[in-house]
Amino acid sequence: MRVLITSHSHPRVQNGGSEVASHALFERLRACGDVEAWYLGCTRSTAFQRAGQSITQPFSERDYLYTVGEFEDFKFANRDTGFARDFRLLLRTLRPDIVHFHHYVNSGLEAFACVREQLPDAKIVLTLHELLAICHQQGQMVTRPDGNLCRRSGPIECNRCFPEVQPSDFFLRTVYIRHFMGWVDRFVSPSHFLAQRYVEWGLPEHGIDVIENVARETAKTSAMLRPPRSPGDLTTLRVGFFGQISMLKGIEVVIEAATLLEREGRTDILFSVHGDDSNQPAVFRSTFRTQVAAFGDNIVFRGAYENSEVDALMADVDIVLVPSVWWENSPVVIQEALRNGRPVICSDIGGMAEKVISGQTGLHFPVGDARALAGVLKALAADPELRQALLRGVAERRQDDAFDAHLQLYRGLLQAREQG
Amino acid sequence: MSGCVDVYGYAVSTGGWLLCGWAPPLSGQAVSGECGVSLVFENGSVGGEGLVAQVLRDDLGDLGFGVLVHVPGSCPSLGRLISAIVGGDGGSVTMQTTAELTRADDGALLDILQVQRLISADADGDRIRVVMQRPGFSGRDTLGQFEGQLAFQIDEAIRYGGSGMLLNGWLLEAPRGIRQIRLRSGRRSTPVALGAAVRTERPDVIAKYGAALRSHRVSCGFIVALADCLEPGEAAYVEIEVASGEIGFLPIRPSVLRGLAAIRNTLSNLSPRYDEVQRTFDIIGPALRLLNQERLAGPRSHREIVFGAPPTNPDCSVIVPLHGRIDYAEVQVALLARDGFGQRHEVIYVVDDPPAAAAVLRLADSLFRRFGLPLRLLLPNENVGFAPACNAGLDIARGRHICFLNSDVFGLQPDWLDRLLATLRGRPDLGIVGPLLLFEDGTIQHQGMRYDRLPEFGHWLFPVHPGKGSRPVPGRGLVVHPAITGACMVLSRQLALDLEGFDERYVIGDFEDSDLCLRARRRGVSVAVDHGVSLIHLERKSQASGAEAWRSNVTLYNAWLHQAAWAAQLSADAGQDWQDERGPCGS
Repeated sequence: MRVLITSHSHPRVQNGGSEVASHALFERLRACGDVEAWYLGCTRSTAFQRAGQSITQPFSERDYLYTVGEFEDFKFANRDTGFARDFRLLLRTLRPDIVHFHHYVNSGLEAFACVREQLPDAKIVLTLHELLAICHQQGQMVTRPDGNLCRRSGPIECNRCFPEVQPSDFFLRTVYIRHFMGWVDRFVSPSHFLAQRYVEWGLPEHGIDVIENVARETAKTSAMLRPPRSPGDLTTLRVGFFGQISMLKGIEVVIEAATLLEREGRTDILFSVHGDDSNQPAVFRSTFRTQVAAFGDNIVFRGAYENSEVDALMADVDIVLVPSVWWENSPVVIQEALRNGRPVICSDIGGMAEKVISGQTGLHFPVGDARALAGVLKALAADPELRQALLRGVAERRQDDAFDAHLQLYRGLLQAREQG
Repeated sequence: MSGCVDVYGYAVSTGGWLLCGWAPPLSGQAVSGECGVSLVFENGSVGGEGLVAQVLRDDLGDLGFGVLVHVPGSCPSLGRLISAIVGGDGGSVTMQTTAELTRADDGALLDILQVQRLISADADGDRIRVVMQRPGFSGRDTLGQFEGQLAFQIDEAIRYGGSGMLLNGWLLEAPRGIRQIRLRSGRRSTPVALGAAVRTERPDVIAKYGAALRSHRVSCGFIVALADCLEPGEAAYVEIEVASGEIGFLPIRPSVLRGLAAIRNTLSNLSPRYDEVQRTFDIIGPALRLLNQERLAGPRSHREIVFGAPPTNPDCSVIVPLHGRIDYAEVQVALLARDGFGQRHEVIYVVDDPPAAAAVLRLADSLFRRFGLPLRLLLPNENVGFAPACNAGLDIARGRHICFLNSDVFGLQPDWLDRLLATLRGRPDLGIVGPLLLFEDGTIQHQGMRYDRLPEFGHWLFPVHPGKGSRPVPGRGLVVHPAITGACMVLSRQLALDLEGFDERYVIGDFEDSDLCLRARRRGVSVAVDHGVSLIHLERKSQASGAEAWRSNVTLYNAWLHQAAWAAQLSADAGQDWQDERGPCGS
């Protein structure tokens, strides 16, 4: 079996969830005896550019990188003539049986049609990593500028968020995206929530498989290094926030909950905030830094961390907080927390509510409600039995192997091809 | 009873003809003061309201009395004067000419007529003396002498048709202040009759000059079209004659505006409604027609750039004029590039948007490389408008059929064109066929055109889209109509060529489709919508603003042309019940 994995980015360029997951899948495929695998990442940096060549191999023999040219971000149209030429050549050279796209940003939707044209028998798989096709607001389905949760997109609805874009343009955007998605043989969604949104948008329900992202293999997790503390002996509850310091990740909900608890004189619930605020808008950053300076004794800002440090950092908390005020798909931080044996307290919507089973692997609170979050934390601090039950739930949770599911998917597609 | 002309000629400073001679004795009643004068030349005549004064002549005795006549007007080349007919209510006198007739002009004429001291000392004499003593135009603006009495300005003076001029300006005057306004150019003098002008509202003028001139008439603006008023090589100026006979001049700087910019300027400050509509376009329409004709008259050069190898013998040539939203082509081509479309048909984009040419070429290159659909790009060197752009495409088209397609029409059904072609082939009585056009929400954009009389617009007939915005009725099949939209229409190339494409007199893009359909029907073929084929047609929502007033006036201008050409035919159509008519093509 010959598989080409493509991603909108590359972990060597940027450390986002989907590029890490797609590269992890590629690495594990390479390790299989009967699979030949290649990776094609993308970058908008000109650092790897070679004149006259759009696709190069700066990292390794099987690892390709496309330097993006003229790209139309509204409807994900790749106008780069170099890519049209070089991607076709790459397909003819590698002759993959499966081309598995992670994302369509940067490579462009036309790449699907290009595969069909060059390799009529190859199967095209697309993993949906967020809601970009459905929502122009960075695929978040959160209204602009108010930041309310959005449940339905459409030309009229989207024009409300973007009055400068005519409804007819949103219509054309959808026509264009759906037209090219017509060439995809199989869609993969890391969550049922995301899959459902795409079904409502128009993808065929039977065409989508829900398979979790493949995780990067780590040598040892902190669950082995430093197991969770036993709740019965403890007088404090240590709550950790890990991720981007941004409005959508719910950082304000964390700060507000901490402030409420401090005012109540609670010294037994301690917050530590880990994350990067460097790529946030200036106004947000300065507000956040002012808040940090005024933090009470129950909350501390630890700053940015490397992905490789997360296991060690999670060893120092009892539970992980995922308070995002947008839907999320399948947040990496939930996978990381569970793999470290830490229960998760998260907002009760979207991919978070799906990935954390309330009462088993964590608890839910109403999205955006800091008072409710404070209440959940107080209840948890007062109930060592509940904490113990959650630790047990995390340890005993059912773990499907996402990689095996991918292999099965590929084999199924090729089997169907052979059967005509 | 006849007299005789001794001396005559044209004096530019007086703005007219002067002639001196004599009239028989009993004609004194008829030949005095203001009266009609007609000058008969070898090759034509000029005439108008003239002034006559008596001149003392010792030499005539009982033969008659001396007369001096001034006739304002132009000086065309009409040959030698034959006679002058002078008269009013009390009868007329013909003054003949003899071999001794002297012709002199301007200074020489006025020198010969140094008979002024002999001009009668009555009121008639005074008036003609004032005329003869008028200063000539020196190139300077002398209207300042009438301060407090009138204010006059020409904002734009647009040349058209070689010697015509459209004047766009305003006038404020105290009551009965002005006797006549004339446009002068060389030996031409053309009355500027504001009573017969298109009036425009100029609150800006009232705000500035209203108080000083005690006038608050907002409609003090005017547009007049003066045909054949300019003399080649001569400057133009306005001459205003006030009640007292004094003259003021305003030099005219001809506008640099040409073509569409000139049309746009002329139409930008108008909002005619109801009864004003017909009158407005009867006044300025002929000038607009010539401006548009001049715009398109120049040599047209088109570059053709080809991407890929279009078929040499295509079934259909799809012709798409592209203007403004060039990115629409990306979606259009993506949707067309299916199922071997490019092997059966050719696609011609006419880029009627010269500033966008480079971007379009880059996009077309990318589109061809991405989708493999061969493209022919035609690049006119200037923005020509819908009809000329389509016709340019038709000129190079090679298909047996033509599909005129707007750039904002999208076929989601892969075989829409082949199905329309099959419909056309299957019905020899059918000349033009179009699809059902739907908005993006699935409601009707177009399912055939009808005509409605709009009282607001002079009761002219305007094409309308019945059922627009409502849900389509399934299963209607092929339905004949008086006309269909040009947004998507299919016809044989032979018919398109026989009809000489779209009529280019229509400016920018209105009514050409209706006109084409009506011309096709005159040839005995019918026009229909195939409801079995539907495409998406977007309708751009433009912000309604004053700046776009000119655009709706262009529509009115086109409607004026359309009305003149088709009113009779459309009235006959109106008797038919088209709504339910399935006609010879009905199923």
